[in-house]
Amino acid sequence: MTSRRTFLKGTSVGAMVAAVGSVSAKAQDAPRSSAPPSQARGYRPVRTLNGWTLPFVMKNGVKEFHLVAEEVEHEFAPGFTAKCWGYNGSTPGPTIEAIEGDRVRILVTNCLPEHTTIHWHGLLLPSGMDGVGGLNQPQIKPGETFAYEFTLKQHGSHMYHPHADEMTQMAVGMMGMFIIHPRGGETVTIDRDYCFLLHNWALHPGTYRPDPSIMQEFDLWTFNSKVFPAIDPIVARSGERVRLRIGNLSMWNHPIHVHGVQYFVTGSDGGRWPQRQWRAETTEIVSVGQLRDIEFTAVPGDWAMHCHMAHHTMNAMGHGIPNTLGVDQTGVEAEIRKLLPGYMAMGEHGMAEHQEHTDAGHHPGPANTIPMMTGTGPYGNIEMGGMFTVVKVRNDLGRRDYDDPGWYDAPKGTVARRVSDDPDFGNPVRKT
Amino acid sequence: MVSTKYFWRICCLLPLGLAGCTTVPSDLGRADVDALIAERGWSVPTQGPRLDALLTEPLTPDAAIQVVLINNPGLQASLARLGFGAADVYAAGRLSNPSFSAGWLDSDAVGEGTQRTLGVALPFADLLTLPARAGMAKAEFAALKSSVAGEVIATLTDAEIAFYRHVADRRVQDIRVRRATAAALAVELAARFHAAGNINDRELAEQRAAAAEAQLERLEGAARVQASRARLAALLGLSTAGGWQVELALAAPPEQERPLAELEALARQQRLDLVAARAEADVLAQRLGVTRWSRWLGDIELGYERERETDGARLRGPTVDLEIPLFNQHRDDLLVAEATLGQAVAGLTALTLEVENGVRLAYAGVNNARARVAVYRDNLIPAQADVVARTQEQVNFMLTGVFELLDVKRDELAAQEGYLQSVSDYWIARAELGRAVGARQPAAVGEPVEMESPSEDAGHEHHHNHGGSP
Ligand SMILES: [Cu+2]
Repeated sequence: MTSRRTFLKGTSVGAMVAAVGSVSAKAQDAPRSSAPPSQARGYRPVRTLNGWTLPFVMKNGVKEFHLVAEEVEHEFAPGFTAKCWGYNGSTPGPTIEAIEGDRVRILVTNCLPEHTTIHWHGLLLPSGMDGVGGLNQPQIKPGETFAYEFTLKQHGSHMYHPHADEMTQMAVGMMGMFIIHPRGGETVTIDRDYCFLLHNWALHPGTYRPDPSIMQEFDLWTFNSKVFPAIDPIVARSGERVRLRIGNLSMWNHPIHVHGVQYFVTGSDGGRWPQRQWRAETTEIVSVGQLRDIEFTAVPGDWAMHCHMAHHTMNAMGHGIPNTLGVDQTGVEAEIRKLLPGYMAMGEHGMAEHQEHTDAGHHPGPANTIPMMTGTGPYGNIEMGGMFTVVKVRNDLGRRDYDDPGWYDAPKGTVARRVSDDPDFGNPVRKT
Repeated sequence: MVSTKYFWRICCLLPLGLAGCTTVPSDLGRADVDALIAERGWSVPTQGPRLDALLTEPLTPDAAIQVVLINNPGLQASLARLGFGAADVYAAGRLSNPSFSAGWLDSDAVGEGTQRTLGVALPFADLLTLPARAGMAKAEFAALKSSVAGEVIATLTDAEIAFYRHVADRRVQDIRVRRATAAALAVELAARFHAAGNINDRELAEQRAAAAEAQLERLEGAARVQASRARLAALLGLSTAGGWQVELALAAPPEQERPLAELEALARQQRLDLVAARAEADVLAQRLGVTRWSRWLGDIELGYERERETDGARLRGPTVDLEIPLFNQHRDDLLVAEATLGQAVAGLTALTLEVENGVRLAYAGVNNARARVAVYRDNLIPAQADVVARTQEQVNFMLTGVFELLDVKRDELAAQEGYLQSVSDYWIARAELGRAVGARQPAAVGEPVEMESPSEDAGHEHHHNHGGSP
C-alpha cells in the first residue's frame, strides 16, 4: 500500500485512489453482505457474494472508476490464504455497476510486476477499448495508468479480466464482474440480485501461491474466490424473485444446480433473453467464458446450490490416490504404526469418516490446506467444500435483510425421519 | 716387538672393558617397545585385565585394543623379531675367540729332539673395531624396536578400523531390517488392496518386486556383518563362533580437529617408520665412518708363541700377522657402505615426503567425513524426517496414499543408513589419520548418534512463513 501511495503521490488521481483504497480496506474488514443495497441511484444494486461494488466519481457527466491491478493476500476460507493477484485489494476485483447509456471512464493503474490490460468481456465498445494487449492497445506497464472510456450501449451481466499474459494473470485471480442495469428499469421486478464468478485454482496443498502451469488438475473450486463454508449464503424472503448472475472465468464447465426450485435461465453475457427463450432448468451448465442469469421465486427452506461436478464441491483432495474403499487394513495398520506412529487407516467404508478425523484435528493436514470435506449443519456434517453454498429462504425476513438467518426450522413432519435401525427392516424389492 | 707384559694387558683388559657396553636386556627390549607404543597414545596394559574379563562385556573400542594387545597372534610374531636384534647386539659386543696352535716336529738330525711349538693368537682388527660395532648394533637394535612398535601400532590401527566397520555394518543392518519391514508391509497392504479389487496385478507385482529387493539388500547386509565380524575376530585373535559382542554406540565427531600444522609436526616426530629409517641412516653413516679407516687394517693377528727348539733351546715371544694392503685396499667395502648409506638417505627423503603427504590426505579424509556427517545431521536427516511428517499430513487429508508414505519412510531409513555410515567413516578416517601421524588421535567423547524414528513427534508445528499481509 505504502509503495502505491508513494508512487501516486502528487498526481491528480492520488487522492481519489486513496479514497478507493480506504473503501476497499473497510470492505475487507466488515462483513459486506450485511449492508443492505440501496436503490437510491435508480436501480437495485447487485450483491456480489463475498465481494463489493466499486464506487465511482462523476466527472463532467462521466462515471469514473479506478481499478488498481495488484497482488493481494487472499483468504479462501478462514486461516487459508494465498498470494493472488486481483484489483483494489481483492480477488475477484470489485464489481463495476452502471446504467445502460452511461459514459464510463475506467482508470487502470498497474501495480503488478508485469504489464497487464483489461478486456471488458461481452461489452459493445470501440475496438481500441477492448483490451487485448498488442492487438487493441499497448500493454499497461508496471506503474502506468491507462484510461478506458466508452458509452454503455447494452445492459446485462458481464465480466472483466486481463488480456495480457492471460493464463498467468487469470490463474492467480484477476477477474471481476461488470453489471449494466437497464435504463428503463427491469421488465420483471427482481427483489434480490446476486452475482458471482466461478473459478478454479491450482493452489497445491501446503503452498501459498496458485500455480499457473496447471491446466486441469485443479485443487480449489470457488464462487467469488471463496470455498465452502466461507461462501456467503444466498438469502431471500419467501416469494421474492431472486436472480443469480453466474460468470465462469475458470477452465472448466460447471453445471450449476439449485435445489428446491425450477429456475428460469433468463439471459447470458449476450444480454437478457426474450421471455419466450427462457428455459426452466434445475441445472445449467455455465461453460468456460460464459455467463448465465437464472431467476426463481424463493421457496422457504435451506436449499443447496452447487456445481454438480462432485469433486468441485470438495476442497483439497488427492488426485488418483490408492483407493482404500473396502480395504481391510486390520493388523497391517498396527504394524505400519510401529514404523510410522501417526498412521491411521482411512476410507475402508467410504470417505464420510474423513471429516470426523479432520474436524477433530488430531491428524493434522499440510500447512495452509483446508480439508477436503467441511461444514456442519443442524443434522450433522455437510461434507462439502468448493463450489457449494446454501440458498436460505425465510418467511419472516426483512426486505433488505441479507444477514445469515441461521438454520431452517423445518415445520413438524417435514423432515425425513428414522423408522428403523434394523438393516433387515421391511421387504424391499430387489432385482434378482 | 711388544713386551710380554704389555701384550697380556691388551689381551685381557680390552675385551673385558668392552663387554660392559654390550649387555643384552633381559626382556629383549619389550619394555622399550611398550614405551614407544604408549608414547603414541595407545594404552598398553602392564598389569591389564585378563582376556576373559574383557570379553564378558560388549567390547568398546578401547577394550578391543586391549584384547588385540593380549591376544593377537601376529603381534607375538612381531615381538619375536626383537630376539634377532638382541642376538645381533650380543654378537657385535663380542670378540672372535682367540686361536691356539701347537706343533710337534721331529728332526731327522741325529741327536736332536722334537721341536715343540705352542702359540696363542688374537684377531686384533676385531679388537679395534669392537667399540664401533657395538655402538652400531645398539643403534640397529633401537631401529628394530621402533620397527616392531610400528608393526604393533599398525595392527592396533587395523583393529580399530575393523571395529568401526563392524559396528557400522551392525547399525546399518538394523536399518536395513526396518526397510525390509516397510517393504514387506507394503506388500501385505497391496495384497489387501488387491483382494478388495482396488489395485491390479501389475501394481501388486511391483510391490512384491520392491519387497524382494529390500529382502536381498537385507541379506547382503547380513553377509557384510558376518565378514566384518570375521575380520575383527582375526585381529582380536578370537573365534567368530565365540559369544563376544561389540558395543554398538557410534559417537558423534568432536567439535574440532587439531590444526594440520600440529599434526604434521607430530608426524615428523612420532612416525615410527620415520624414526626407524632415521636411526638406520645414522647406523649406516657410522658404518661408513668405520669402514673408512678399518679397511686399511685388513686382518691383524697378534699372537704369542713359545717354542722349544730341537736342541732344547727355548724361544718365546709375541707374533704379529699383518695384511699388506698392496693389491686390495678393500675399496669394495667402502663402496658398499657408501651405496647403502645413499640408499637409506634417499629412502628417508622419500618416506618423509610420503609421511607429510599422507598426513594431509588423511586430514582431508577426516574433514570430508566430518563434513558429510554434518550434511546428514543438519540437512538430510531433518529434511527426510520432514518429508515423512509432511507426507503423513498429506495422508491425513487423503492427498496421497499409504504406499507413498511407506516409500518416503524407506527413503528416510536410507538417509539414516547413510548417516551412520558417514559417522563410522569419520572414525575410520580418524584412525587412518592416527596411522598417518604415527600417534593415536585422542578419542574425544561425543554424544552417541541415535536413530529414533523422528516421525513420532513430527507433524504438529506449522512451518513456513508465507510472507506479509497486503
Ligand atoms: Cu464445477
